Amino acid sequence: MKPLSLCLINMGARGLELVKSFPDVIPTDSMSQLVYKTIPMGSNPGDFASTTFNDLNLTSYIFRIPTADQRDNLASLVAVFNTTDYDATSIKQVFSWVVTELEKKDLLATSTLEGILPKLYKGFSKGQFKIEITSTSTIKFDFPKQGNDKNGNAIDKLSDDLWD
Amino acid sequence: MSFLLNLFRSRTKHADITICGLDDAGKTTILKFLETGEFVETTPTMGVNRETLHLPNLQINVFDLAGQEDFRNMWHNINEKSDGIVFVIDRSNIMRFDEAKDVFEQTIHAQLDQDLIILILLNKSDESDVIEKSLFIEEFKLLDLPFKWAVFETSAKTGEGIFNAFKWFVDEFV
Repeated sequence: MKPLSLCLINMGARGLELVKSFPDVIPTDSMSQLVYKTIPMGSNPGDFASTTFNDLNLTSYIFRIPTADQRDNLASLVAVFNTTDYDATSIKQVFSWVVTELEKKDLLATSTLEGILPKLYKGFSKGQFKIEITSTSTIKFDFPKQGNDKNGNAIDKLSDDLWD
Repeated sequence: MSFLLNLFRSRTKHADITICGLDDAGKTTILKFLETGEFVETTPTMGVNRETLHLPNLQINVFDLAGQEDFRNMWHNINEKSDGIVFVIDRSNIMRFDEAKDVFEQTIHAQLDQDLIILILLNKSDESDVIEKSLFIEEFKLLDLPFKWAVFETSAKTGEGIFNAFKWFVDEFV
């Protein structure tokens, strides 16, 4: 289940904007439209969205992200695929779990997510990931096997708190 | 039974209002204060929030519009169907005062309905270094407006002025 790209989107001064995509393979003109597909009108933190756009398929998780000295911002983690053959439920589980874990460790920040995006991308290919966020903090995730417990709760399968 | 329902419905008026203003002015926080009676932390609005407030004899559909530049081009379509507009200004953000003035003028000049009611909220009154109400009225040329309007000083954090402001607004509809 290898995505074409993973993206981090947030609300900027003018509107929604791309913070980072990895790998950076989506053309700029497509990206400017894509960002508005990932957080639909009226959506709120905690919502998921799946849609198609041109020949791309998107699944996103919308969440609240703390911002220094300002109110919390709205952001989304997005997996972009060029096929419909992927398990959207697993994507949702991974994204919501990553955000929840970072929040628990008080590490949820745009810079942190930017930093882990490449490792998260590699994790999608391998079916598991282990990301060292700081020298003392690591998160691990094993993807549920496709076709097996598709609707199960990934959090039940997780290693517990993973502070080194 | 249906007669009673119809009678009840006929006594309940409906109004559509929009809440506009620059991003981070406090529009959604004000709406949340109206709903819950307390300060609620919010995130930027994605396009539009729609909420319904049920008051005695009045049901208000509130369209809370995102203030970022990319969303402002959709304001007009929603505003032109509104019975009233609430325009929220962060009175502590002097740096964006001119931008707020431009957006206010564009919003008001796009209105065709002369019966439109406009409530202007000078929000974040709990902050220091805020623009004075009298100076604001002069700078925004409110005395030249061809609509019924009022300005209230509010704080969505403390609740200051919010209920008085909306009492005036609601009284205009009932």
